[in-house]
Amino acid sequence: MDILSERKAFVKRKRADSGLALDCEKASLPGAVSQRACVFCGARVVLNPITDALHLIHGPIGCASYTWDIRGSLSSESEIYRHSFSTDMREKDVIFGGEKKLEKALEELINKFQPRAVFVFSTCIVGIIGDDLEAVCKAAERKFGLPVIPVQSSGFEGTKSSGYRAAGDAIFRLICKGQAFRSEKEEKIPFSVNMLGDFNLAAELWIVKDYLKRIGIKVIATMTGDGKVKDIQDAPCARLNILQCAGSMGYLARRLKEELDIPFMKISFFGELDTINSLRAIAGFFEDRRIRENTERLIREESSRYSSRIEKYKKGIEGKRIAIYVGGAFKAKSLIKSFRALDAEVVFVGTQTGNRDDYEEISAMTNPGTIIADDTNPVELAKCLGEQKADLLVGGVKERYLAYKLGIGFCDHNHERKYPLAGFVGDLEFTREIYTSIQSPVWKILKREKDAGTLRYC
Amino acid sequence: MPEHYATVNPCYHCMPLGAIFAAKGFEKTLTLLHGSQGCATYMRRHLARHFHEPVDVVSSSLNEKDAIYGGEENLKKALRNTCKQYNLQMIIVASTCLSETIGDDIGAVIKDVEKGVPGMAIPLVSVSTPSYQGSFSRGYWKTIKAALEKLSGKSSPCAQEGDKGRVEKPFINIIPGLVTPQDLRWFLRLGELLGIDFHLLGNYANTFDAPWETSFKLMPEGGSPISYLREAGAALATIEFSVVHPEADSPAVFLQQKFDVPAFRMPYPVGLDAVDKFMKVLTTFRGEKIPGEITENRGRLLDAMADAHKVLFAKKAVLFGESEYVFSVYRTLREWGMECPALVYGERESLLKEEIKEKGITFIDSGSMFELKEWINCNEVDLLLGSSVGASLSLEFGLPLLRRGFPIHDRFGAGRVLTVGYEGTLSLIDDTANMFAAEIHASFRRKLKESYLWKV
Repeated sequence: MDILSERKAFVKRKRADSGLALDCEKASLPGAVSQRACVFCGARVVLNPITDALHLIHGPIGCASYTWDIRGSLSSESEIYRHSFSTDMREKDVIFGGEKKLEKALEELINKFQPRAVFVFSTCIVGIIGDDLEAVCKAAERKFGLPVIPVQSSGFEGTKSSGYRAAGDAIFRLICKGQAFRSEKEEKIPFSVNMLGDFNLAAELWIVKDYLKRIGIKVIATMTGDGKVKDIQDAPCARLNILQCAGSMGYLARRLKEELDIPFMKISFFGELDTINSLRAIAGFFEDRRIRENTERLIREESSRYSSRIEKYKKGIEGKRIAIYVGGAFKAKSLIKSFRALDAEVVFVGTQTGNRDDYEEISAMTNPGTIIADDTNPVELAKCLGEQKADLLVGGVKERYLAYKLGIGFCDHNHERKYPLAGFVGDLEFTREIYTSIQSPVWKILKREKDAGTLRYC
Repeated sequence: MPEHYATVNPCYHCMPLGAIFAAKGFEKTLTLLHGSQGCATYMRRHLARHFHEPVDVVSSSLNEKDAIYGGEENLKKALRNTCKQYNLQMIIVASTCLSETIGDDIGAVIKDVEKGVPGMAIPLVSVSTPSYQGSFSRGYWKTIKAALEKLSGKSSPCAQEGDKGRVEKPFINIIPGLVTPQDLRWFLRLGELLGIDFHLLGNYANTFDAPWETSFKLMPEGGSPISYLREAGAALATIEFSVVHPEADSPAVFLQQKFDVPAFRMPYPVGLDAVDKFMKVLTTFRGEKIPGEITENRGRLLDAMADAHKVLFAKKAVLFGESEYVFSVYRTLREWGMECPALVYGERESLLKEEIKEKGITFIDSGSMFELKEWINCNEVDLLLGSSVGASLSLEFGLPLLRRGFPIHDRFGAGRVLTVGYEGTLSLIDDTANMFAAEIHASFRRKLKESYLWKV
């Protein structure tokens, strides 16, 4: 198993004496089994958690089948977003155009499901045959009196990151449509924020929202976890945008700053250290003594609450060798810090969408000898995890079974997770998850098998 | 049912997924999806979650430029890179919505590559599988047929080269369809018991359910040898588990037309009647008695049908999933006196409606689980039977869900469920009856108290 020559610049070992200069932000190499998805996927996963919107996929059935309820993000009210809506295009729609079918589908679905807004996703086929989504959506918007927003997400028109931008554009349009319906510009609400880039997986957004409430900060809109159309349209009333997953929502945050004058701040609630730093940074922005005091009190209360249990688990994690392969770079950075706090050694770090700055930062955070990779594939992962003698991989479902075949533990840090990994309590859950996987006796049995080589019963 | 323009919550998938299923049945074979990167990634994720196995699928990763100027160069590059990374014996090149619509000529690229690239000695099979032309199961049948069209012959290459010492053992082609790895192991065991050489076209028993091994293998061991495709024309017969799928895509019919190999198209061997028919066909090739191990299990099935008849009779089950499997389970449940008032499947090409003569059945052929929900709102149902796409309805209506078919994303061991043969039917009847038994034992005291105690 060898790394393809064209991939060598994307997989590098950190050296003590030279910079990393990792190649990145390129289209995936044909035939390389990238773990990335497509433009549509990027847009779909970002918008999907908006709960009271109807997410209609204009295309053949596959795109809708594979993304039905894909994120497991939770809702406090509407459940419309958990359905999978498709125009289920057939050959005749491809030949004669799908606009008529889309029109009728919109009418049928809006009447039946009564959503607050509709997002219409274009897929590969729509990008090729050139259905005019803008026109169909505009007509439907007039007819039904609710925002109907096209999402330009044809699978081939860029990478997953282009899909994040398409989603950002769609949310921006939703916000502007809200503004247009208002008679006058609304006042800013004091001590208020919007949350960007948290998708309320395993209630993580609610955990953070509770912290903010306790320190005296009001959350206006959540984008997009447990998102509600009305709240998102109220987003311009907030003083500050706090941005967690910068890879997916950074584009929207920048647009909101440039065009609607809402400043943003990058934060992360993964790991105790980042949680504390983020809370302090948010409190610092508002320059208010009461908020600062509340924040310190909250940090004192929360961090002592779980520390003894975390210490207990830590003993089983210390010194273990960890590999990380996640979508966004922000998460990789938080994970590196979390593992450092657990005295584990990070030996491999990869992301699907990191940029040059991200990789330099990651390189600065890790020890010499660590392998850092962009848009890696199963061949490289198998090789690197073996070479680096990793004990556990943090990743998504496609990598999970590769780890198991290699005989190492796994932590799910993707859509699939059922336990919250954010905030102080998330730090406990995270530590428990790592401990549970690493300490299972199965790895010792598998190692014994490996050491023995061929199977002998006597 | 009113006409629908949208499909909500589909219980079916698109064609390239079926191509992957077919390719996984052959030794060291990968699927290359000629299209944008997402298709391969989504399908890998879907399959990995079902089988709990790593599943590699290659993509030609088309982008905007390729969509305008054609994706042939990407395809060539992808073929080269695939061969560099994986030690392969065959590649299935399946088209997607994108490559099909921009009009890439995959066949021409393959010819080019086969001629011009040194080391590209392995067969490259192209199959047209755009999502808008059919479903998951059609992708499977088309791919098996395409592989046979390209490779099948009357005899194996070594026999052609005059290998006189080789004794040609008579064999039967079996095209299993979309079953489980455990089912495939059952077919092979049956062949051993009967002394018939079964050539499975193909066999994903190991490739989708690989044992843990001390050394990691990028391509799991297993799969039928490619020679099975080459020799397929020399078989005694082809048995294909396909009744409701149109004949036009049938690999068995193709082999019959080209090589005069008798084609037997039958339902999955599930349920007493279907397994009996399958056994009967097999005995025509092997005039001996069916071994005791099999007849004993047949007897156990009869016994189980008697044991469970009261909890099963007149119970209403709603079935959803691949229409061929829906058809088989429908026939089986009717043997037990159960009713199947609604059937949900998404293959528009399916002949299910024509095959089921019974009146009063609702066919939801859009594959929409939401339409099923609306139907359940006004009809009585006792059991949901199908893949994990029924999980939300099960929770909402408090109905038991017996998980069978693809995908099963919320349980373990999908690859090890036996669904075929007398044995597979036994596990179906036990599991079905136990769904009802569990409900009776959990609630009979409460229900009787609620009904009668207040009167005393």
